[in-house]
Amino acid sequence: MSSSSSPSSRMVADMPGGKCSLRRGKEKRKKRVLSIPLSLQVDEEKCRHIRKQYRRLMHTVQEQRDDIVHTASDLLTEALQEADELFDSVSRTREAALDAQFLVLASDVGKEKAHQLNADMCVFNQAAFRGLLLVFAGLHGLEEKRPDLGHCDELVARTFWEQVHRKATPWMLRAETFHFVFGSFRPEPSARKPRQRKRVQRPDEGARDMPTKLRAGDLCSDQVTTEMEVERILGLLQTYFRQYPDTPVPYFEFVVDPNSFSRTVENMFYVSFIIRDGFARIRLDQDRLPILEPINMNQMEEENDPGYHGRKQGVISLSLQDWKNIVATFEISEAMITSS
Amino acid sequence: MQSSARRTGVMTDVHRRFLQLLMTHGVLEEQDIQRLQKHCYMVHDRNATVEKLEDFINNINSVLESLYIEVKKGVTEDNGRPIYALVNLATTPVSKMASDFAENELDLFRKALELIVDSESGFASSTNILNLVDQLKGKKMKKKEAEQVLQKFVQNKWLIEKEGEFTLHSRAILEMEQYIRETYPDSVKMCNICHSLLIQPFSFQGQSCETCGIRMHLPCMAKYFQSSPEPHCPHCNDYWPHEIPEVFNQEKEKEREEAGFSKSSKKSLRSRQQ
Repeated sequence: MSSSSSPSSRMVADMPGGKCSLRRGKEKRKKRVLSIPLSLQVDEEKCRHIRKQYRRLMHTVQEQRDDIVHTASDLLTEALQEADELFDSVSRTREAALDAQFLVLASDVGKEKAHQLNADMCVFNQAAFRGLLLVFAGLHGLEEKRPDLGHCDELVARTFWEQVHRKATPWMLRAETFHFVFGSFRPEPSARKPRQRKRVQRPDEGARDMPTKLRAGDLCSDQVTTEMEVERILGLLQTYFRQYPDTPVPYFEFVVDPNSFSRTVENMFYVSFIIRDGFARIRLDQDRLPILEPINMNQMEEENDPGYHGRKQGVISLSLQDWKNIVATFEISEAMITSS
Repeated sequence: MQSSARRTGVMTDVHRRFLQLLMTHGVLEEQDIQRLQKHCYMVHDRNATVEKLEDFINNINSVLESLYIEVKKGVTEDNGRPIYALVNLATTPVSKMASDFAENELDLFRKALELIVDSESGFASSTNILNLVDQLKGKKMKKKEAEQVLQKFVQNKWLIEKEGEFTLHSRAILEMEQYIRETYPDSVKMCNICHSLLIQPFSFQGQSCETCGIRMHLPCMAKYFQSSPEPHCPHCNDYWPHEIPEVFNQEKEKEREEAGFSKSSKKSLRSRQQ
């Protein structure tokens, strides 16, 4: 190993020019003292040696990779220790990069080695375990004849469990703990309602409640209301037509209640009954807006059969926003259908 | 600390072994307890005289007093056998940490307890208990799980099952008596004779007076009417219509068992008498 005090001629071969000249300059021109701090006086020979060591290490590890991975050798650990020692004398990035390269290689090899290790422990051989268990319980002969206890008769199975129990108990040296229930409740948040103390009484036969009899009117109450409403609205419509004959009323003006969306929907519902029963009809006028028209009683006999006009079905859907828009567009200020 | 007015007893290994064995079983009949005591003496102290059971247990209780644990003596409700159980007496921060049962399981026990106490017969049908499973605190429990939990209670001797209906085991009655009296003061039933908690007032024979409605334990009734040829209700003096059961007698039980065995072999008879 060449030290810094060796003659400059030896360092000529692989020296970057600048430093070589510095050294030569130092020796030749002793008067000119260049104040170079010691840390900068890198020993090229030393660095080369370090690099050489690193490369040798890497080469060794690569060569013996198979060995390291498959055998339980300490080669990897030794190589790492050597690299550790080498790193102490590293002072430049060039060597540090080599060190990093070596570490990457070493960790790859280490990972392979670890994988090897895991693979050996993963396997659980069920059949072997079963056999061992039977031997443990003292039932040797069963291994070949009956592979699983499901086919064994009751007595053998029970003997097996008793044996296991007997043999396994001494391995669990633990005394029973104190089992209790009182005191393990969390406190009840609500108090119970005070209950009446029941007195022993003969149940009275007569005072039992009869189930409430259903009155005839109760069941059809809803339908009655609907019918009444429909009739009322029909009456309103016909009154309107009597007042203003031959002017069909715009559907929306008739139906919409500017103050209540739910009322509007109800009105549409009742008007649909009127149309279904044939007392009015709905069609589009020149502006493609729906209008309601009455059907005269005379017309009813001729035109009321379903085939005549080719009755169609329509579905009107109305959202809250639509309703608001309609109220604004048609400038509806008050409902035509007043509530009774 | 308590004054030395009551002398705290000293526990030897005999006592300790006895206590640990009692802990394992939870509740034991008097016969078994006596055998257990003798066994403990055998193991540790062959030559010592076997202490009287009452003093033995009082000794243990005096040591356990500071922990609020006690070996309580009680009587089973259906046939009057004396039993001993190790019970917890107080709710302490430590007792609240008990991990035998989960929170929802304890809540199930509490609801079952409520149903049993409220019922007329002291039995709660499993359907009624299972219907309450939705209202339990803690983790949601399925009905199938609840059935298994109820079986766990039966195994650990907290509940007894009879034809699909559940009632409290004597162990639970001994431990929970105070709790039941405090929590359900209106619906709890008391025996007219011994003035303690009554869970099963009606059994197959029926033990309530028809006219005045007082109730009593089956064994209490047996003892009360033991000597009288014509039984009368103690409260209203009416004629007592029901059949009087026999009083449970330890000696008679032994004799009956021995008589049963004498036919088999004399050897077993000798071993029984020991």
